[in-house]
Amino acid sequence: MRSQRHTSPSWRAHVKARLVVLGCIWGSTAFAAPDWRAMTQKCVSLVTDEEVAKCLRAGAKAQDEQEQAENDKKVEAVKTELDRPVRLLVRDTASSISNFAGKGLGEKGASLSVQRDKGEDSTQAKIALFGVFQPLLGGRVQPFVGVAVSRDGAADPKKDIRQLTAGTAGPLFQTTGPGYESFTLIHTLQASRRYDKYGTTDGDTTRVHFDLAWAPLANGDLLGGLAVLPHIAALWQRRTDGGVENGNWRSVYIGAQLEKPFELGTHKFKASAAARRLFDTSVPTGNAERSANSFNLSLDYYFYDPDNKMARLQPSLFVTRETGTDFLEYGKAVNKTTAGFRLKFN
Amino acid sequence: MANYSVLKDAVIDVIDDFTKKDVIANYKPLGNGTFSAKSKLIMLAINETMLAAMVIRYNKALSRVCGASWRDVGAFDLVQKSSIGDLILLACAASGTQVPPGELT
Repeated sequence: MRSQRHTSPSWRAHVKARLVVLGCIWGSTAFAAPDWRAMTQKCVSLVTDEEVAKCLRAGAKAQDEQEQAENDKKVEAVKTELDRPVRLLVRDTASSISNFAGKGLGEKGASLSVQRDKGEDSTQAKIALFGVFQPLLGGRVQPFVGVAVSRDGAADPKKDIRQLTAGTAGPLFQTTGPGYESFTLIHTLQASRRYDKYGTTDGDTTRVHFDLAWAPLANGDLLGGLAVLPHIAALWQRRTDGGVENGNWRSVYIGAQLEKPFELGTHKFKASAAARRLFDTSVPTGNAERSANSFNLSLDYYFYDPDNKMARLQPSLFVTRETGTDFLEYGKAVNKTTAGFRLKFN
Repeated sequence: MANYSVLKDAVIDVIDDFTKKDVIANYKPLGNGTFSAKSKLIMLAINETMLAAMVIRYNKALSRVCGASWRDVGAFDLVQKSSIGDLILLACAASGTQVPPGELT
């Protein structure tokens, strides 16, 4: 009976029709790659059941092999990245408050911009190149080295600063319990050597910076999408070309970074702010201990999907307002608005 | 080398740990569930800072599953990921596990 049903023309037509429909459905899904439809149509045109079955099995095997090859290629691409002993990043500065674990080494992408200050136009470039090494201690520590150039034609005197830097970053400690309620201590330990071509801010800086990532605050859950990341740090600076300011400066600073991504239609923006306060604990003889504030407000417009972190080139427009004392730049007072084009490379 | 489905479950478990949403119960890749490999992490309130914070548990969970074949990843590797599938793929690459045909879903 079974054999008769299999060979009856009406049964065969019915099965073939179902196979074609099934093939069309497979052909239209994202998972079955290219040619289920064509393969099914080809197979059902064969004469005997055995030939149809054999054809379908061979087709399925070929599809599996093709998908396997595609998957292997994807895994290999990620593995190649992981295998690199040093990976390169381009950012804006080597002395950013932000650590790389949270926001990428340096706060943002490298920038080239035109600014208007005191009635004069000038250009500004902030570029830092970092090399990131393989992680250690279960991912808690990731060493990096970097070089940075910061030029500002509007500054008086002109600014042309080169920096060499090295350090480690990563989440050192985490509380137990659910991850969405956890507290994580993310560290950046960094030593830098600074050369100031036009000014007198040559010297060495060492800082130990901790981001205090309490999940409900850091992920924006608590404040309607506004992510807040407080930080605390110790800073040692040894000035070598500052006249009376030469010597060892020891300070602590506390502050927070705030960030809120938003969309207007299909256009993607991010508003961010940083506020911090520095206290000197020890200064060279003849200098007064500082107690200084620094504020930074920024709006970015992205030419790419900021949720797609795999994008290699990440261009954006920005406008930034900076006020207060930029103590990582050796205590220089800043009061300026900058707008321009930023290019981040991952 | 770890079994793919065990490794995938371990990654989804870590993600579930870092969001209030029930990812494990609603992970139905064939279109019937809320979450799949394509789901964006930012929709689960997992931003770059949380990805950096996730590193310790991600490495712990996957080294438990993969044993000696697991190679630790760093915060730098995780903060660049944007979807659940990216984290599964990263785990496969770091452990040398093959993604079978029909995946990532």
